[in-house]
Amino acid sequence: MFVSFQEVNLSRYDVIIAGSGPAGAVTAKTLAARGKTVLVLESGVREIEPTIQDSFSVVHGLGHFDSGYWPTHWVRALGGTSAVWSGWVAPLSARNFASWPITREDLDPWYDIAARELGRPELINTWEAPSVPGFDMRPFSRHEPNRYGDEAGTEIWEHERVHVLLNATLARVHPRPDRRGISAITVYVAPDVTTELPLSENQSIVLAAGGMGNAQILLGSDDGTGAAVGNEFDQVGRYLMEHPHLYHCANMVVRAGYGFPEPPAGFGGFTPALVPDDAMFEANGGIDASFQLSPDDTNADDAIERFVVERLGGQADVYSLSARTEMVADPGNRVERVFGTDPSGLPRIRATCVVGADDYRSVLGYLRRMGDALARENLGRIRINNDVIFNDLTGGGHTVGTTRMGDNPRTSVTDADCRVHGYANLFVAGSSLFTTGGYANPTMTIVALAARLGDYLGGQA
Amino acid sequence: MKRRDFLFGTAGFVVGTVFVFGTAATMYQARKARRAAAASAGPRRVQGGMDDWVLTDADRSEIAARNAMSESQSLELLDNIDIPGAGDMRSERVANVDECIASCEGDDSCNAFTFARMSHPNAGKRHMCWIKSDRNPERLVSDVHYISGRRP
Repeated sequence: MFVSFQEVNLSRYDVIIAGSGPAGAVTAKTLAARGKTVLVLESGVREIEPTIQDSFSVVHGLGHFDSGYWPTHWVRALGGTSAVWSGWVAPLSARNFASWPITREDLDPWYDIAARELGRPELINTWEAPSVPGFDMRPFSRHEPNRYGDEAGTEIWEHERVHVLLNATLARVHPRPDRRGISAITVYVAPDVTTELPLSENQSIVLAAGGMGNAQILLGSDDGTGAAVGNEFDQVGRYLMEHPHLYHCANMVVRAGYGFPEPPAGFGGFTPALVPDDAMFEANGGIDASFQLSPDDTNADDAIERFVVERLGGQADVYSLSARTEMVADPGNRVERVFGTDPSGLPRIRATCVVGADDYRSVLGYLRRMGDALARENLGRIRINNDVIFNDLTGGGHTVGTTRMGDNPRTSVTDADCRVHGYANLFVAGSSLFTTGGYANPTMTIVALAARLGDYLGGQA
Repeated sequence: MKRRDFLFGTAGFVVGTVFVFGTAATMYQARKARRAAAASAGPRRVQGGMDDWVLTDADRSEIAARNAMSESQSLELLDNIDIPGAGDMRSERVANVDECIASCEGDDSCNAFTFARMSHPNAGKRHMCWIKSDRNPERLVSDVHYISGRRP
């Protein structure tokens, strides 16, 4: 239910959640189902208001993603960035969890919950089939996106134990003197209320403010008594990742009727994509990637393409390949605070994100290996469109890794329970938790982790 | 404000009605579409030349054979030479240089020809054959992607 600031009595809430996007919504939903009462703070209102959006979501972007890029994927309205989500879903692979403090197996029960939450069959979490030698068909699930500002969120926001305060921003978390928990929060309610509210030890905070917002709140929670909250080892904001998207980075010419495996009908809507199998992944250096297949036209003007078709028996099918790839988790890619504040008093931020040489070479490596595998058995040939890879890179609108999980506080911000290291009642939800990004669109994993966090906090006394 | 207005407004360019699975496209998706259109249009995607293809050694041997210097009874052949202009009468796509030679030999008005090898960086020119009318064209340009010929 929606509440006004005057109606808020902070002491009655078990959990306070900053943000109403997929991470905050699913955390709230899970907690409410487990009998907990939650307060959700949302900077925006029910629809996107440009004044709110433009004054709160400000990021100075350096590197491959500029100042116009990040704010578009950091929406300040009820439902958060689900407002602009396109509905692509895939889980991370087991291998993507190698440096996480949890395994894919640990998360599997919540991946199934996430599939149901997002209206997909559980099959999308497991289905794959061998295809081009060294690569498996692993389609992306495509379906109407859950927009938590619209119908997908109605039941959550109307729940009697979920209280939603719009126009409200979590502006700071205040550490206890022993830094083992949070003793108070500062909430800004537009246009002119800034108030510090005390918390008891059995009340928890969940940061679900997006990959930029979660880092921003922690970096801004600096009261002069030491490092900002969670930033004792200068880890907050680091390991920022996107998913480099390279549209039409190659063409594949295969024997007519070569065919690719298709998922069973129960899979639902999908976009076909080839993904390296584990051996190929290791051989190519361990940076993940997927290659979407789109039917394309033969370029009969190109004598080489005609030659290739001739070599393949005179009849061929042509596909365009579009890559969605992983960035190596690099501590130098980071969100930092810069001079100035947003209306709530949170520091303005700068995001430096450079796609690395290894990331680019990995794409070239996969394409060459795929081309070699096809050519070796005379199944097909590949043409690499080098200029597209190096001149046309964009992202997926994914803000990943800024409060990454890990067992070691010196190289991570949050632990296996999504708790900020050392702070008993401070938790994080969202893609900022990801230790590595894989190639998969993050929403599935965001929702799985949020449901898991909700179960964890909901099970606590 | 509707979300679509926000997105398209922020995008800063006219998107019209781009829908992805029945939903309003984001600025990002519109940009994707524009990039996709740009990437698939025109010769840009094949500017990298023959080496952008992942080919087998056998493929390359076969291509080299088809692009090797040939012989002619009636024409003086010039390897690695382009004859630009020189009264271009027609152009045709051929399977190999011998087809181009035969085309010129069989045409009394043909006094010169130029053939583009598969190695040509512009995909549209690969294995094109230009039939020319000028007798004793003087402008010969060194270029490894061509074989030319002229009547002695």
